[in-house]
Amino acid sequence: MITERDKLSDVISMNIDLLPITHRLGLSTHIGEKTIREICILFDRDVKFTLGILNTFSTANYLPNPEDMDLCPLIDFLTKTHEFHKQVTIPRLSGLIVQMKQLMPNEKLLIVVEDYLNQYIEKLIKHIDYEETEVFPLVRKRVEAKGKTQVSNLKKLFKQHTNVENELSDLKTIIIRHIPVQIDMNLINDLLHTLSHFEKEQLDHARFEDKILIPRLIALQAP
Amino acid sequence: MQTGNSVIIHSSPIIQQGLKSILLSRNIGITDVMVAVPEDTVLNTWKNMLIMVDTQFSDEIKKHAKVIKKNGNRIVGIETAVFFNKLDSCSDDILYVHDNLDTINQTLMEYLSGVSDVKSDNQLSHREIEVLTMVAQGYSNKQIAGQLFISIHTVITHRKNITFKLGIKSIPGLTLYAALNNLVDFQR
Repeated sequence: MITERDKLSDVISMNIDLLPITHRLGLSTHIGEKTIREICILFDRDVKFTLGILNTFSTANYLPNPEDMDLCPLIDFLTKTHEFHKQVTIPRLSGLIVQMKQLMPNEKLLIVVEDYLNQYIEKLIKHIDYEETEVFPLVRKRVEAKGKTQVSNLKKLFKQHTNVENELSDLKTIIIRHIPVQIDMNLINDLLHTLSHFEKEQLDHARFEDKILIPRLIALQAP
Repeated sequence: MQTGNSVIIHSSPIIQQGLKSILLSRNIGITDVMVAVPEDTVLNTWKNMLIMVDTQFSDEIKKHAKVIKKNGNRIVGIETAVFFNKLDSCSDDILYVHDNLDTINQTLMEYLSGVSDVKSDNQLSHREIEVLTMVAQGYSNKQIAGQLFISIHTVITHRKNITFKLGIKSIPGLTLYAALNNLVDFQR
């Protein structure tokens, strides 16, 4: 478990996947030898919230105390995660497929995977847009009103929150089973690594929404 | 141990003998050697075969490609010209008579890796393959039940078994799997 006394540089060295997470938290510069607590004070961030995020992304099945996770910073974090996927992960995946298709234009696996991925991305962007235009503004409004405005059906509000991460897991499984003999192994490795990271991030993202965001909203509504 | 089956369609005895020798050295059985593309009634009986065919038969192969490919057969064109494939996209692969043994082995590996997939497919029952195909075609459980004259409960049981056996949970994933295994047309 990561604690406030740990140096952020040590935490990132132990798990490099946390670097983009610290970036989304606005903590990735001027790290030096500072502890997480010192960095949080420097950038005016909540220590418990920061630890909750870092531990969720570094420990399987970990869930922070919902009381430590304020909703507005959580929404900011989730929005930055959306941005990261739109600007980095999705173009990277599409680019790798294009590169492989240039080398093997008639390879059936690449043709069907590109089609699958395009449809997946379209669904994901639609889901992200729904959350950013419908769900998140409503959450902020409720926080500002201190829960006094009622939302009729929270589960209905999150109706589009489907388990899209299953589709990434399936895609990875199928690609591994059908790797063509003559494919560029470096590109296919990159693709599978990017898919694995993406799948894990999607799972963590869904965990935040299902286990923190929705229960916190329900608690806010309770008399 | 034999790991697959093939059909050779070529009029040249030299090429027939050469292919036989190479295929047998890779433990791929030879079901038939033909000098012309047969009728649909014969093509329909071929399943999970490696079809090694002279590209001179491009018109016949293109005409029957759908029938040949629907049962998981793999078409490899045999081309005597250099860097020219008359079969275009209807062949899964192409071998040129000047290709070295490494290239030929790689082409055969593509088929053999597919055969091992088909073996795991065979763990699905005939009924499960029917259900999987219909799921991939976008049919609902109710529609599948109606078409196959079974209850919705039975359809759900088949779907659970398919997911368990293949390790694939989502409908898009099952559709992708069905497309790669020639159960449905992948050009949507």
